[in-house]
Amino acid sequence: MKKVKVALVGNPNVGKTSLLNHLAGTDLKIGNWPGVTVEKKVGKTQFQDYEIEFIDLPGVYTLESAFSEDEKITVSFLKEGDYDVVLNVIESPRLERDLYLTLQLVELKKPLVIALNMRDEAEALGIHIDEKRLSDLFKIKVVKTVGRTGEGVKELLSAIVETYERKLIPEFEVFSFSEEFDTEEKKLSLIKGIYKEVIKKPLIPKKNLTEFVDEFLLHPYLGFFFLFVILYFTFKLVFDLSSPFVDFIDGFFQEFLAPALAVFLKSLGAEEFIINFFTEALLGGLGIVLSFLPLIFIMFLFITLLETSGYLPRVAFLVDRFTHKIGLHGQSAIPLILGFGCNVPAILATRTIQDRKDRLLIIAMIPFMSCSARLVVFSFFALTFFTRPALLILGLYIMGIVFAFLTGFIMKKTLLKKELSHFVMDLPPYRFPSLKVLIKTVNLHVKRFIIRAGTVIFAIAVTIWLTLSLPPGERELEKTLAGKIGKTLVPLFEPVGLGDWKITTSLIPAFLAREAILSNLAIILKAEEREKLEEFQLLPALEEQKEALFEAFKQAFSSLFTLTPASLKPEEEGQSLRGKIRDLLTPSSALSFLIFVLIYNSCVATFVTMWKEGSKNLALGFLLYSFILAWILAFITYRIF
Amino acid sequence: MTLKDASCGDLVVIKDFLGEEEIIKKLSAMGVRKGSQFSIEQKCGRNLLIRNGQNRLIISKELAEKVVVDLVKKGEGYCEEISCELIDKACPEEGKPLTQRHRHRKRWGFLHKICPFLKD
Ligand SMILES: Nc1nc2c(ncn2[C@@H]2O[C@H](COP(=O)(O)OP(=O)(O)O)[C@@H](O)[C@H]2O)c(=O)[nH]1
Ligand SMILES: [Mg+2]
Repeated sequence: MKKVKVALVGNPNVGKTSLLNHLAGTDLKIGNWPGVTVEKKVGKTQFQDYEIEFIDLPGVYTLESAFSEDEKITVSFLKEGDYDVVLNVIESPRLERDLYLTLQLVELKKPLVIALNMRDEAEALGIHIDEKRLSDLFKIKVVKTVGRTGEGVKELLSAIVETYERKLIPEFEVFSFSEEFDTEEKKLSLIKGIYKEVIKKPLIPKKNLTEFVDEFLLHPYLGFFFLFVILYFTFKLVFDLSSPFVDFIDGFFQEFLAPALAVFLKSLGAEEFIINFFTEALLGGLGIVLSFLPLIFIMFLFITLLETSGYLPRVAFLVDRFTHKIGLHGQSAIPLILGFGCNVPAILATRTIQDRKDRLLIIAMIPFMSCSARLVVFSFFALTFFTRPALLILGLYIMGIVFAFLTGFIMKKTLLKKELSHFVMDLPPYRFPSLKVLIKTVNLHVKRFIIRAGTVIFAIAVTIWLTLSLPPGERELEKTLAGKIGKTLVPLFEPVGLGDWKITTSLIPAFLAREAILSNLAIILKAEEREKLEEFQLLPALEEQKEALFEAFKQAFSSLFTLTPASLKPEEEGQSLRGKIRDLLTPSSALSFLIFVLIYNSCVATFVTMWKEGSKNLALGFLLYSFILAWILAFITYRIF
Repeated sequence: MTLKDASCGDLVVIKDFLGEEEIIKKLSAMGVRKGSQFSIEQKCGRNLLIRNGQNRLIISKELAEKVVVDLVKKGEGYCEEISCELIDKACPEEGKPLTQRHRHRKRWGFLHKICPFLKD
């Protein structure tokens, strides 16, 4: 079997990654804004007698000079990397722009294939490209494709193989490479010439949907109104659609799975130790984190919609008027918004930012964006302690944003002083991903959440549970290892209202993953009050769960028709975990706790990424800064409320 | 004139570039090339939104200042109506002194809060 290495090169946002996903069956992330791919990614496929390896590269406009981190990756790979064929992906409606890069790729003197992608969009605009003519001009293969659906991918594969076998290195027929070719002027007229040769388009361009929608969404004033409406409804729907299901799953774990498993294990003659492990560490601890799956799902559904529709670059344009007052481009809004999903990819997304100082600044702002892990903790506590949870969570989000900008402002004035740099960005048309891609992308996020729960949080849960049983035979939890560790930290957290060892014990391992706070508390509290096995009957319990699920659907559906976030009634006191936690904290210490969780950069993945993408000093400095800031704010909150 | 001086709605053709910076090369690669025509769709705050066919770009005014253009057609119609004056004037550009009208205001006035860089 022969091996072929193919490098995918093209302008940003032309559909390279989409094509690769069809070519090699990968699940790489796509999005409708320039700068989605910031790393070199690989996908493999077998075709005929060949093993074809595709290398997806970040988009570039020119090979002459690399401006940002991601562009450097592509340029240096093309210069020094190991590849046999270049696959140049072109956005058909913008052929003229894209040919600039194509001419530079010609100079690489490597076998080249052109994919005229987004054939569907070109056709809708009435633009027709004569691919035969283009192919004749360059003496290479040209294939029309649709990255959205995978149309033309088969032809592309055979074209790649043929290019490889026949070493189809582009050369010109009519425009010969003359000495003067290197002058910019000549190059531009060459592009114009080629473009005129192959294109047929209507004289008066059709007014399309994008223009119509942008009259509202990019309107100097109305644009902000719509931005607000979109963000508000995103927030409302994420919260309202998911919370009935979160409650259902929680109930399913605590009231059905846990007792059912206990009864089952008992009937097998399992020891109490084993039964406790399953009901406390596994179903009590991990279950509570997993019950937030619907929240994660809906959250990422909306983030993916924002990313793939093309609205993000519009937000960048709109908010530039404000961000530039603190010396930042509107473009920096994109990584910040991505931070609401997860801080780690958000930090990676800063690679597209040209200026290193700007980049460091934005990296230092991102951890203040409440990620989904924090949302999980927030929703749990907000529902437990406060009568208007949605409002509180919204408040926390806004507080995070405010501190992000304050931090940015202060850093700009002190450490990272500099002039605002130039700014130019491409504005793509609105696009809608196929449902399949949408579901796939969201599923990937969900899977990651489950894997994280299944590994990191599981490991933490087991450790906490074990330390609660050390030294062996110790009945009083306070005297166990976990209790002792927590107690030594109490003086540090006492002034902010978190003087209970159960809270401090839960906080330590949360540096690995914030969601672990919940699982830890659940385990500690469960261990404290080991329940007697009640009478448990499978069928009636199952019936109950069925009704609860139905109720959840009903609630979620009806929430679609209200304007304000539905504020769920806090549960009545009782045996439930919520009830127990409510005995542990007062509302004011709960609030101070939430603010601490919001501000303190307690996530090992974020820390490591800051270190790698920014610098060691940034990561360590920020850790200290965020801890001190979190402590002070929590202190103030606790004293005031 | 430069691209920065063009008003909203105008159609211009690109003549030349000022300066030899690397970023000019990127502009060319992105489609802002000698001889290509662009219409100005919005001019607001610090940026311009320009279009050539399916190619739409956001470009900052400092960068637009480096692009020499000729006016092809003066703009008319709706574009001027949605002016950004209100937004542009609410906060003078960084570095520019406050106008007379504001000078007597207190240091911690409302304006200082929304435009924190203002001095006196
Ligand atoms: N209509 C249409 N959209 C496409 C096509 N190919 C890709 N897209 C969309 O274009 C956007 C950019 O795609 P992506 O693969 O991330 O581009 P990349 O930056 O070049 O890797 C995404 O929103 C895709 O859904 C196509 O052939 N037709
Ligand atoms: Mg990509």
